[in-house]
Amino acid sequence: MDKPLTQAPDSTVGRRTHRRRITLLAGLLALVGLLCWSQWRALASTKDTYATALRQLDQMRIDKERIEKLRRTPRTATSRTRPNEELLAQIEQSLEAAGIDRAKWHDSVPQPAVRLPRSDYKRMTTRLYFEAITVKQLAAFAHHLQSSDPTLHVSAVNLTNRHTDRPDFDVDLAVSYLVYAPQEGRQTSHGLP
Amino acid sequence: MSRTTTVCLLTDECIHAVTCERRGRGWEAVARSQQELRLPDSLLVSHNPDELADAIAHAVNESHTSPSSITLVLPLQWCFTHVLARPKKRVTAEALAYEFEQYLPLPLENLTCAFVPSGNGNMVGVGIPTTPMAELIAALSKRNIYVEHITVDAITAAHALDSVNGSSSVMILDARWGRMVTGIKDPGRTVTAAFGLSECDNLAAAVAQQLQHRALSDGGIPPRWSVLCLADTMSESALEPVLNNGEERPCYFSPAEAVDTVALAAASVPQALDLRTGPLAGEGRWSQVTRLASQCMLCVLALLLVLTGGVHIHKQSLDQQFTTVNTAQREIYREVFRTDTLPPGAALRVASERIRLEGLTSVRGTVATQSTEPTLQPLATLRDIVAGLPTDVRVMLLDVRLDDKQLTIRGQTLKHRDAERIVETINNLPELVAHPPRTTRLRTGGVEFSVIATGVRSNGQTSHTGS
Repeated sequence: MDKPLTQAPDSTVGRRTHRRRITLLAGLLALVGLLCWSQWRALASTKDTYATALRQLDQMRIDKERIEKLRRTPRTATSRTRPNEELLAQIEQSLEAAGIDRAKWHDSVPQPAVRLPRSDYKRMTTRLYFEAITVKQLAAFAHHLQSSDPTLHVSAVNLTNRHTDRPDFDVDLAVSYLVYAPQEGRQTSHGLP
Repeated sequence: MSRTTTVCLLTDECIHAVTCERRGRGWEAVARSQQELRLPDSLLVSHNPDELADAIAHAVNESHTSPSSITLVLPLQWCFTHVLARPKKRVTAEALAYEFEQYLPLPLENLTCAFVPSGNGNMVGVGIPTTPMAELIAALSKRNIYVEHITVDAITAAHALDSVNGSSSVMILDARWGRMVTGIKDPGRTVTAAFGLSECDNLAAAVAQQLQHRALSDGGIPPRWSVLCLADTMSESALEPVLNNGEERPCYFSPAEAVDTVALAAASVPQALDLRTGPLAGEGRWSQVTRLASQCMLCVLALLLVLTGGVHIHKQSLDQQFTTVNTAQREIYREVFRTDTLPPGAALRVASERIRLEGLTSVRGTVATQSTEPTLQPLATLRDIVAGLPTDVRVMLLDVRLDDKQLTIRGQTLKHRDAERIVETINNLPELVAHPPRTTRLRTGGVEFSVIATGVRSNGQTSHTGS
């Protein structure tokens, strides 16, 4: 026992305490730094989100005005392929309105859908066959058909005069409408970020 | 690189500051200064620590050094000592302190203790009052003087002189105080004693009495011992009766030599006894740096906390604004779609609805029909042709084929010229280009004709070339 014996340094003022305090402070600093960094990141994220939301709101306001205007505009295309029964019912109504006897409507043949080149539309065509109707009746029928549904239009007319002594024709009429069907992958202008 | 330390030696009437520089293996006193101050006989009597700290600071500054730390050498008078019997096994300072406590006039909690092994295996317990020393250390710290070691003059000198001249028994004499330590290194009887000299008329007689009383009762005067005289007023001749008392004359150190000897002893062997421990433990040489670092860290911590708080408040504010925007979006969505729920990507849905409606209305419909191919409106074209025919032309239509690209008419008329006029009428229409008619005279009279016309684009180019 050659060395002097001394008491252990008091824990309240000792170097160990000081070291502990420094370590604690460093730990706290790191913790608060981390907290500050995460808050900063969250703030940056919120800022981005807010700026995006603000831009979206502006665009939504513009879109809303445009939508309200477009909803008042007559449609030139449909959003879906209409059932054949519905189309035939509409044709019957127009025939009746044009004063054409139902018996003169000989046949109707739906055609395959055809996509218009470089567009978001498909053309749906149904060929109608009539016997012995006059041009006047045909015009009246077309007028009533388009009045009842603006999306429908006559895309082709074949008039054949079988009886030269009568003013009526056998008519082969193509009634078409456009279906709005955007192609997948085709670019559309949303106007959004 | 030389190392320098300042030793501050407290005597009864004076404070000595000695700057020691390490040279080779030893130390050398390079600067000295002193400040007169009458020190109290004990730390337990009331005294002003600031006054003492001022004097120490003055003495230290007078030594023309700027030490960052000093070794404080206390007089044995300020300490409580007791020689404890040889421990039977290895013990800690804390265990010895409990044994030491029974010889102390103060509770152990009020003391800072250290234990020095003596030559015969016993332990010399040394204790100083904690509170007054702590006050003194704090007062010195305020004056930018850091106390690195605290030691006791007689014990430190006994350790040092043993290696110098082989005398581990020393007596230190001041004007008012005397103290002695024997048997620290040699196997003789260990004695530590502090005694007063101020009341005695005959100094030599008083010292001799102490010698007889304390140390020499059972062993006589130690063979080699030293007398260190720190008081200028005390001459060697006055001590002659004492110095000549034993078989061997002791080493006598004059005041100047004594101060240097104790200072060098304290500089060289602070580890012999260091009371800067326990409750008086220092915060280390770098305590000021670490304290500064702590303060800096606290400042940064506070700054970071403020920054975090500010960022948090800003984020809350943005969140509120975002909620407002979200509400406005929901309102717009509700007006557009007549529903209260706001799905994710509401803006995209509204935009999609706008695009869908554009597609369903004439705007996009027009765009869609603006393809490179010409498109005819069959009934309107037929009406335009019929309306454009000259009134004097008689025609019987046999077959009319009209689609969005081509017109074919087969009919009968009276003359070839009438067929030509029909073609002219068709060519007058901007959207059609008719080829020359094919006519055949009928046996029954009249002419049968057939006309083919094709639609044209706005630049006049025909869409079909085979007709």
